[in-house]
Formats: sequence, C-alpha cells, structure tokens
Amino acid sequence: MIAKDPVILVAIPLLLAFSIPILYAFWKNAIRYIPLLAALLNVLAVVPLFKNSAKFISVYSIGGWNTKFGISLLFNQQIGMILLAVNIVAFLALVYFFYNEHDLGNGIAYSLAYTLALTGVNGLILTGDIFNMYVFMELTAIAGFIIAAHKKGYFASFNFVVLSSVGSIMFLMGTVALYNVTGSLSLANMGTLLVGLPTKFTLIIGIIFVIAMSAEAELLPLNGWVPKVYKDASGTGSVFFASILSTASLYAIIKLMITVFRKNYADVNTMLLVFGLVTLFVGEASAFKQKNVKKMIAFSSIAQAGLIISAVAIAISGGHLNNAIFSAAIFQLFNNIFAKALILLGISMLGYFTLDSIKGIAKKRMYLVVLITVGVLSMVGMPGFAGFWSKIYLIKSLILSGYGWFVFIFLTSALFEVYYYLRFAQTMFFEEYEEKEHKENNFISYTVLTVLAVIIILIGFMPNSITGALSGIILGGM
Amino acid sequence: MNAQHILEMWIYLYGPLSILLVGLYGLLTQKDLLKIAVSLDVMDLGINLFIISLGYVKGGIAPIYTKDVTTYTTKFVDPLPQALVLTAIVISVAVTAFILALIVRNYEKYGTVDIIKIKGLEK
Repeated sequence: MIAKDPVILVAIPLLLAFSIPILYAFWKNAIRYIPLLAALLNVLAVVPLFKNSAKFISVYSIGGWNTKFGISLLFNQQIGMILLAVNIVAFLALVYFFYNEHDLGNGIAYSLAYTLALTGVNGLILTGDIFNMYVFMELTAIAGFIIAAHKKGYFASFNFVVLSSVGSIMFLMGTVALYNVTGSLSLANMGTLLVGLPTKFTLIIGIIFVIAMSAEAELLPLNGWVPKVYKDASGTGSVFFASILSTASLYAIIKLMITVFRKNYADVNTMLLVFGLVTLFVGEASAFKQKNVKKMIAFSSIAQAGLIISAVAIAISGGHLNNAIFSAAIFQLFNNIFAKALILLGISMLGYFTLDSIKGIAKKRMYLVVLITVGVLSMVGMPGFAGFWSKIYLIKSLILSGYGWFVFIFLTSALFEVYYYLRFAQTMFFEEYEEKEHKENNFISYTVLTVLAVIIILIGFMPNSITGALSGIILGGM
Repeated sequence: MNAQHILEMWIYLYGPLSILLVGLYGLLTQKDLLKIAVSLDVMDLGINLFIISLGYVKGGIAPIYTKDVTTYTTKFVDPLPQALVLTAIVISVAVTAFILALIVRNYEKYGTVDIIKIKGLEK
C-alpha cells in the first residue's frame, strides 16, 4: 500500500490536514483522530524506506524533472532516523493531545496546524531544493504561529510571527543571490557551481542564511520568541517547538551549510562556529537563572541548538567533513528529541511550572517524577541514558581530531546544564512538600511518557544500534 | 558605464533594497502592532521587487512562446525569479492575514495595541 518514495511523507499529512475541516462538519472527533492517523501513517511510511537505502544519499526527483531543474528529495539512513524520531515523537504527542488537550481552545485550528506542521517538518528534513526548503519553512512556521497562539498566547505568537517573517525575507534574499551566481536552485548543484567567488560574498551569503533559519532553529539573532512561546504554549505545543520544529530546522540548516558550502570556505565555517558558540553561552547563562521550568527548558533548547551548530561547524572546517564529529553532533540532536519531549510532557502532566510550586512533588507523584527524571538525566548525560553516549562520542571524536579547546568549552557549558537540570530534579525530590491540588491523569498519558522513557533507556544500553544508521554521510553520492 | 546606466542600476537594485531598509527601520522603531505589520509588508515588497529586478534582462520580453516568438535565440527575462516572487507574495498575504487576526486577538486580550503596554501587562 505504501510506496517506497519519501514524497509520501509530505503527501500523507497534507491530504489529511485539509480533510479535517471537511470531516469536522459531521464528525466532531475528526480533530482527535485525523492528526493521530497522519502521524501513525508517517511512521509506517518511513520504515520501508530504510530497506533499500544505504549510507549514501539517494535522490528522488519529483514529477519526472531532471534534478538540476526540478524539485528533488534526498534520503539516506541518517535522514531516515531523524524522520523516524520526529514522527514517533509527533505521534506520541498527538496521543497525549487526544486524551488531554483536545478541548483546550480552538481544537480544529490546532489539529489542522499540527498535521500541516508534520508536512512541513518532513519536507524540511527531506528536501534537496532551496526554494522548496523556503516553502516548507514557511509552512512549518505558519503552523507554529497557530500552535503558539493555542492557549491564548497571542503576544508570544506575535513575536514569533515578526521574527520568523524577518527570517523568511532574509532567506529569500539569500536564495535569489545564490540563484543569481549559480543559476540553480538544487542544493547539490549549487555546491558544485559555487566557485570562483570573492570570500566576502560567500561569507555574507552564509550569514544571511544562518540569520534566516535562526528564527525556527532557535539560534541567536532571531530567537527572542522562544522563552515566551514555550511558556504560553500547551504541553504538546511546547513539544512541537522543542522536539519537532527546532530539530527539523536545525537539520535543514546543517544540510544547507554542508552541501552548498562544501568547498572549504574557512570564513563561513568560522562564522557558523561563532554563531553557535554565542548561542550556546547565552542559552546556558539564561537558563541558569530561570525560575519557570518551561522557560528553563526553552533556554536549554537554545543552548543545545548552539552546541550542535558549533560542533557541525568544527566537523566541516578544513574542507572535508569529519564524519566522527558530524555523526556525534547528529546523535546529540537525535537524543534531544526524546529527552525534551519527555520532560515537557511530564511537567505539563504535573500541571505546575515554577520551581516554587513543584517543591517535593515527588511525594505525591512518584512515578511521574521518576519518568521526568529519566529525561533530565539523559539531558545531563548520566551513564546508562541516551544523552551520555552522544556526549561521550562528541568528546572522543573532538579529542581524536585535535580540538581540545572545544572540549573545554563543551564541558564548561555541560557544567551549567548539570547544575540547573539537577536543581530542577532536586527540587522535585528533596524539598519540603506543601499540600496542593493535583491534576488527574489517565493511564494512556502515563503510557506515552513511559514509552519515551523506555526509548531513552534502550538507546542508553544499545547506542550502537542507532549510531550505525546515524553515521550516514550526507555528501555521499552527490 | 555612463550616468544613464548607473541610474538604471540604482532604480532596479538599490531602490528595492532601500524600500527593504525603510521596512526594517519601521520594524525596529514602531511601537504599534499594526505599524509593525505594515513594516513587514514594506519589507516583503522590497524583497519581491529586488528578486524581480535580478531576473530582468535589458530589452527582454515575457518568457512565453507565441506565434511571433518561436526561437530559442529570443531574449527572455528570467522566468524563475518571477515564479519565486509569486510564491513569496502568496505566503506574505497569508502571513499578513494571520498577523492582522492576531492583532485583533491581542487587542481583545490586553485592550491596547501598544507593544510597550502589552509587555507591561504580560509581567
């Protein structure tokens, strides 16, 4: 039934999203079932794609056009793993939505936006065409505006709209500048044709693209919306921003940087590193002093984006892709998807978001707090959890390649992270408890969180099963 | 490069870029939510004109084969930037409609469209 072509991942949610308003007219539960169906079909559609794909990129052209002129999708095992993780988390978040949040605000707009956003993120991860990337980015962003405004977070959503629109204008400018010098819109083709240009020009193009994607990828210049939106969004909404949107945009920006600027542009790499490091430190320092857990995770998410981008910048410095560092950075991105989703869904089940109000809450909600702690420990990098392996691989590959100074920066930032995440866990477990009301949660919500925790622990015990697939070389076959 | 040519270049490339900068100025200085939305539209206009002007070929005609134009040697303006702008315009219309709806909601929630006052009410 399901064709072995990645375009199906874009088509399924698009079709189902627009069927929601029609079906809603005579079936009120459409807003609960259709998004769930879309995410489930997506997960089922990713799996058969793995069968005949290698570590090398396979290019799927759309509509029978030559890939130089038409739109193409790129697929390899690494892209497949990211797609699988994003769609699994979206599915679990929608199961949570099905039972807990469907009656919160305008359900029809929210479920339509969530399903459309799946189209957008799958497209962002898959596409090999720069203008296509712009369209998917806008699609995801517009869905994101609606998701941000769901729990009456109108001002937060307004901030996001403005910053994201500035980003998209920059993206158009960069796109047309690259088109003007290369005469192509396909990423692979542009990388080949981008030769003999002044370094200043490529540097400016690089800066334009990083700023353009920074709104969605939560990098520094345009990420002012992040804490507000996380604070005001519903539980599944914040999972969308932390695990789905930021992962897809970060992966898109990484893909753009390593395919278009693959011919040893030292300036562009340094620029990317500077953006990454500044974002990392601003994120960690701001997360450090947050009293609201959702805001703390927002800043931690910004810091992680900065860390991953700077690790990728190091991996591509020197004119060739350092595969060990690159796959460790992607593994870090991969682990964040599950850990952030687990923590955010967990605290939205607790129903309390400030550090003061969750004091000693473990006395009443032991199982839930233990599940959240699994996510926290994975973020911190405790042995036995998924986050440990990505951090250890990153440190190992950096030392082997002679980037000891970056290991130092990385460990300093990890120190901040350990402090504020463990303070959060310590507040839940060991502080004095005050009697207060508790949200009733159903069995399914606990199951969703348990599945996420089990995924994290399984990766923690069998990291090789994941890293083998994640180390696909994105440049191979181009 | 004579003065005439420089003037043409100015109109086609620096004109749209200056419109973009006017929009950016508005975005950074205005405190009214509606004016921010208008500034974004001005920026969109600037970038769209910029893209169109990059695809312009002097003396070129519309890229359509007709009864009179049948050969490849004819000078066409580049059709691809026009297609890009068409998509960009559609997206910016949708975003503008969304922003306006959002401003109405903000006004209902806070009773003002002044960004400073809303920030004060948020705390």
